[in-house]
Amino acid sequence: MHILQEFVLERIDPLSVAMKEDTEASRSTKRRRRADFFESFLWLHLGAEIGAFPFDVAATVYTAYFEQFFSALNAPTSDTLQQTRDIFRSQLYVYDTPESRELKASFPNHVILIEKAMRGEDILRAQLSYFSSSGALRPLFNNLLFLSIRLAADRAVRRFVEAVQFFDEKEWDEWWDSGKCDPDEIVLYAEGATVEHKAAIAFAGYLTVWRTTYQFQQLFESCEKDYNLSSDDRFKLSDRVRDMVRWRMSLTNLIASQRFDAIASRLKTNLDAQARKDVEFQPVVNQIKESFDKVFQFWLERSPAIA
Amino acid sequence: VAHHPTFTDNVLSGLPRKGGKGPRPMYGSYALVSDDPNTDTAVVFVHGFLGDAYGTWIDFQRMIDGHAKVPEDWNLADLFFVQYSSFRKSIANIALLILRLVPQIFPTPPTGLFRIDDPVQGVPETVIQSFLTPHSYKKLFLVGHSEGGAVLRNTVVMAIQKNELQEELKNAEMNLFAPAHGGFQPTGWVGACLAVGRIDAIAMTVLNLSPAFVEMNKGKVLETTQDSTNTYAEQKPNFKPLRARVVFGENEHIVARLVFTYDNPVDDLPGEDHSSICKPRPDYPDPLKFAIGLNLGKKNKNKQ
Repeated sequence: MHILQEFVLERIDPLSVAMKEDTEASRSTKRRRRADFFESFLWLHLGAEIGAFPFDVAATVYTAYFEQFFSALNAPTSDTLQQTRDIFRSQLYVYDTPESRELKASFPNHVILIEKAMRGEDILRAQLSYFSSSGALRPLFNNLLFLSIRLAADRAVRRFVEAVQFFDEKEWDEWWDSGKCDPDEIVLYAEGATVEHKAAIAFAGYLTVWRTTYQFQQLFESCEKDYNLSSDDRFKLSDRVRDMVRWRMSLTNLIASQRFDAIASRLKTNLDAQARKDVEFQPVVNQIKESFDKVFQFWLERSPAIA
Repeated sequence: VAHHPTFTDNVLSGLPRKGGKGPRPMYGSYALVSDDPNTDTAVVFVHGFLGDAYGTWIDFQRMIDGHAKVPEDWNLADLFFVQYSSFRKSIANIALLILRLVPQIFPTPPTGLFRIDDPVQGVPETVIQSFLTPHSYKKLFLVGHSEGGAVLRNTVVMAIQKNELQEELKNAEMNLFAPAHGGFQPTGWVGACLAVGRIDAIAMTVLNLSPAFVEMNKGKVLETTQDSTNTYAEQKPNFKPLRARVVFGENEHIVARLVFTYDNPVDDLPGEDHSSICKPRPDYPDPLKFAIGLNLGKKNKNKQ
């Protein structure tokens, strides 16, 4: 299947349908879906620029799925009256809704692109990276997109992101429950079973994000030695991808960062406890803990990191 | 030529569920489908203990399209990356999965691999029309790393014992990176991190623990597989996958360098270890040659 077909079928279409049909979803689920959908748009935008997607087909995908989405982010006229004073100060580019503000908060480096899209501009030709050799980037792009689809499709990751990023305090406390669970539940959940303790989902999500981030890093690390790729292009692509996917980790958001740390430190404490009982595990426990710290740095850096 | 990553959950089936509830989807498995209509080769990759269908083989996926030193044979090949849980499954169980998978792929894969078979309402017509040309295969390569090697050997033995897939497999080439003989099952929090994290470079540390600790469960299965493979290789001299090409890294410390009687061993690859041996890099394209049956040059003792 062409990668654009796969992308539409696996990611864009199911999200679009879920957003339209599941109106009863919780606020956190709706926020996560909107952010996820916007990230999909960013991949479409990047794929069209690189040439991984035929531009005209990408444009029809944009029209079919995203035009209405961005249009609906504009506030209705009655709300805009309250914002008119900003017009005279020339500060207002669009009339925001709570949804558009939340989206901008999740993607602070894409505020201009969101506003341009809300205004209905020719968005696939806006805010380009101007790679010097787009064709050479296609295999790398295809792989990064594939990893992102895999990440987004993972049910543990979806729930983990919703909880860490968007749950209110009460929801989080109930869900996390101080990290109580059996380690077997983590594996079972990752393999498709249901589990009694929700904290198992948090750990499964964290570990899946760890794995995928490690794979992102490995890909970029391998490319460093690939002289077919311009280093400028590689850095631009790496930074763009980080900006697109970082919202899932968003370690710069204080509450999310604290929750993320809570999961990581509980995991480390439990690993240490197992290593105390069976010292043979100490080397692997040390390696896992070090890897957690190194791997998640990837999202905070502005250039390719080495795992 | 470009290869298009395609999830295979909906087009290829796993083993049946308990209670006759239909086949279990093979979560995490995927294919890279060539857009060259003349494609005639299928390459099936089976990862190892605590490995991952993507991470174990990184950077095959990008380099087949993006690197100057890549053999052209890859242009005419589709790649199938199998994912399985090595955590609680026996080698025989995973081998059965592969046995059921091969006829779904070879010689004629499902059309859903190339195009949207059941159009979804709302998907633009331009997207539906962006399909790849369906093709079937003349050549089959089975590529395993670590426990994946043991699984593939077991698959071939099982096929002969069950008298299945004799035609499909008889000319298949088996290329094994550091075939494994480990059987250690980590539990608790370490086990959970390794099973879900699937980072084989870290799993290696576990496998580096004392050999007795590591090889306690599956040794017998592997001995039986070795005996059966050797016996069948004598009886069926033209059944190619009974004669695997096997390569180890110079720094292999995880598995015993066990080469079966009729195997074709290749010289150790300098500087590589149990995890790195199957991961091509721009300055290490050897896995790209080995997997598809090409000679590695000076390092190779045998002519293929």
